[in-house]
Amino acid sequence: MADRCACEASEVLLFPCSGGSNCGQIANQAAVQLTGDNVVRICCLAGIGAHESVMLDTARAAKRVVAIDGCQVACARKTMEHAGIPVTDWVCVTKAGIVKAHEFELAPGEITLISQLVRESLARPIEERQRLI
Amino acid sequence: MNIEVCGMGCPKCQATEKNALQAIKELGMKLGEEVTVIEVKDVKQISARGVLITPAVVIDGMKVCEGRIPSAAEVKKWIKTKK
Amino acid sequence: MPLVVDALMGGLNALKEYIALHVLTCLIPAFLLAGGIITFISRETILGYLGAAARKLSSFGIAAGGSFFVAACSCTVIPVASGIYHGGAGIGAAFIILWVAPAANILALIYTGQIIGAHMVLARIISALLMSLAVGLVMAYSFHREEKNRVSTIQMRGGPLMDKKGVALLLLLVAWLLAPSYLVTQGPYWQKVVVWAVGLVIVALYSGKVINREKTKDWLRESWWFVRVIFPLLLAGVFVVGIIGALLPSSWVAAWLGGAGLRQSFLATMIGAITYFATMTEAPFVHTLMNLGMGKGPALALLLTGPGISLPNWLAVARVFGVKKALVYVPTIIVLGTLVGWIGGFILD
Repeated sequence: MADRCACEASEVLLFPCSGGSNCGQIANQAAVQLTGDNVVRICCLAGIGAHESVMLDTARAAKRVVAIDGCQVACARKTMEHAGIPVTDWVCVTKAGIVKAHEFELAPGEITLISQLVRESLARPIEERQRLI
Repeated sequence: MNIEVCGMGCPKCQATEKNALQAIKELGMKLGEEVTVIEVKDVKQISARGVLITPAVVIDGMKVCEGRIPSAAEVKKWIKTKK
Repeated sequence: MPLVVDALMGGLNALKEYIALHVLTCLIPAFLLAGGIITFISRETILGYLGAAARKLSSFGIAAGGSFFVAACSCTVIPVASGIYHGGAGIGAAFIILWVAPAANILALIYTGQIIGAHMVLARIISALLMSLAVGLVMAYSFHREEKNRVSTIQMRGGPLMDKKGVALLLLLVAWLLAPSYLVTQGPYWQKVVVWAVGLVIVALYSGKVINREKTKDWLRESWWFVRVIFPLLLAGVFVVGIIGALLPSSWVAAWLGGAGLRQSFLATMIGAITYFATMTEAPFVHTLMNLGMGKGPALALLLTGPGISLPNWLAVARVFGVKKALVYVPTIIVLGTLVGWIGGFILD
């Protein structure tokens, strides 16, 4: 069992929220779906909240920092901002039209939709993205 | 169930939509209630679904076919697996 | 009244000259080749390589080369270019596809070669590629600041690039296409038909024995699709070209478009840049103008910008990529087209 953080530096880091609803879990699954190559990786949001130094360094070194929030309460984004890490891309599941509920049957189409929104956000230049938030 | 036919209106896209409607009819499903078929003509919407080459078919958000015209039989198969 | 009769006769004559003599030996093999390219070459794999390529030159090369195979039908060019750009591919690569796919469309190249000649096709291909390199560099440089922090997430899509047996069939089709023109350089038309018929038998035997049934059905279905959709448009286009050819005074054409001057090249480029040309129709149009006195340089410019861009296309590019990018792209093409026509005119004459 690893008792050290295994995060490696990467161009794009994904921080999905904790996921206490279907929307939060969709955010999480989208991040998992996107994590494949060495460019885009899911990272531990809780580590940022815990002020884990390795995590913070990794996040600061990334080219793009994506916060994927389940709903507009935006805990992931707020956590990053609280730790002083600039969020370059923010995707919100409820804003994408998915209805929040406290049940956990996730439709694959919804996960793919959020993944695609993240991809599109990454394909845009940062300044344009921040204008949209 | 939501079936989206992605295309800019060229004959290939129209043929795809025709096959999708044919598949629904053959399965005896109620168009408008159990299943809807819409055309996605706007390029940004098409790209948003991860589609690069039209025509393409997206069922409930998942791309099932891209770059060719699927037969009605294929569409039926996809609908049946989704149910 | 006589003017109308002249116009109609012009149309009918054009149909005879541009269609009747070419259906067997040129168009049928061409449509089968186009259908074959779609069936036996994985377009998704090409786009996957394109998305995964590091930004500049390698992606330019893949975009330019891939354009020959990815979009045989003009309606899918904008979704493809938009799709890869919004998936993260470089702006240079996206605009290269936007330009090369219609300017060097495989069916149009074949038809141009058949009607105007091999030298013009070669000039068209080389020019389209050189222009694409320039377009890629101009777009990438003009927007380099925003390009710097865009990230591509296009994944390598499955499948091998090509199926060996399929590629052999494609090469056979190309040979079949070129055989009548090259083996029968001087001789009556029926000799070309004989060569064509022999080629047809060889192709049929090869595909019957080597290619599996499913793939053969796909191939024939795609080819039939080209016949159904593009051929009627070609007929209509050629008829209109014939009417224009009958009504347009030769003196006008020679004065405004003759020779190899910069002015003539610019005018030809502008005509091509604004007017919409359906697939393949630019070839008979340019040939008619050449017969009326248009110079080879302006002809080359028109062969490229005619199908390459058009007014509706400008608007679509502005809507999909933004006005700023369209305002860089369109004038760049116009400038490049004018230069190509001017320089090409000197080389070709």
